Amino acid sequence: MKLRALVVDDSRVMRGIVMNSLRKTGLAEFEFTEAESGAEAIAKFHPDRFDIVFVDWNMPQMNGIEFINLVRASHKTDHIPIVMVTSEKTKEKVDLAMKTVGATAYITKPFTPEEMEMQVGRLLALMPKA
Amino acid sequence: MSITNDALFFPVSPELCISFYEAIKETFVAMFGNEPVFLESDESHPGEIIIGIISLVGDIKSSMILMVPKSTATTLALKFTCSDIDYDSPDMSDIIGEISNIIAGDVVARLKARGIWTALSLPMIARGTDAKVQWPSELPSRTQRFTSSDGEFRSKIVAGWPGQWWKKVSGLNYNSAQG
Repeated sequence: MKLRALVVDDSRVMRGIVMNSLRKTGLAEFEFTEAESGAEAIAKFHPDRFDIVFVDWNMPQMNGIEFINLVRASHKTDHIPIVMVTSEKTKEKVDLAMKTVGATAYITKPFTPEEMEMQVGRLLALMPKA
Repeated sequence: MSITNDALFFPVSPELCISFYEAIKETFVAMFGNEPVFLESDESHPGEIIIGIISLVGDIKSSMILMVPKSTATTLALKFTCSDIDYDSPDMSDIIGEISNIIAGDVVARLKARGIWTALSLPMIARGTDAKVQWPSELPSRTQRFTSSDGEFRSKIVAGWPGQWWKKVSGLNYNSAQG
């Protein structure tokens, strides 16, 4: 199984950690595209280009919530799983991301490889098989 | 780490200090696998350090300054990324910014549990030798020294009030953290 993943974080190191964690899960063969802000991610975003998105919350220019809002606003992209990966951990923030804005999964930093594998494995099980 | 004596936190409120110190402890345990030990208060900033600065704004205003000596930063970066990170590289700024961000995110949750709403700023990073970050003297602050098997580091907690929140920095070069 090959997955085209967009990884959005203003920290290059964190993007690397997310990508390494995903590779280590062995759940799929990942093909990564990176963006360092929501604005750059939107510029790279295109229907049918990505199978899954991993996005940080706090970023300059456009944050992760604003990014998800834009992706969910189009019926062409509103089905794409989006995983929020963030240090924000209050219930209000989780509810905002998951219930109000429409993130598909929520992972708080620092995360373990097991947490990443569990969350992504759950999403992959729900995705239609090619 | 045992936190029992309110005098340890003077002049910053115990609630604020405990939230930060417990967040520091939990973050280091989760990220680096060891619990920092709480040492005596210490205002000195010896040698080459990298500094993460992050603020909370909301019902209260506060900032944390995480001061990490070069040797500790290098060790933490290796553990965090599983690769050697050059101390002078932007990636090192990323890492200290990310650690600051994760600690502050935990503090936001701890304060929320106490009925205090706050939101995070983006982290800033500064570097310097024998550098110190100065806030106006009327704002209460508390510097705390920690040690762990990865080396020593310090945190400075600054408490502020609406309308009295500004900072002045001397002897430092700023760059925006990518944290």
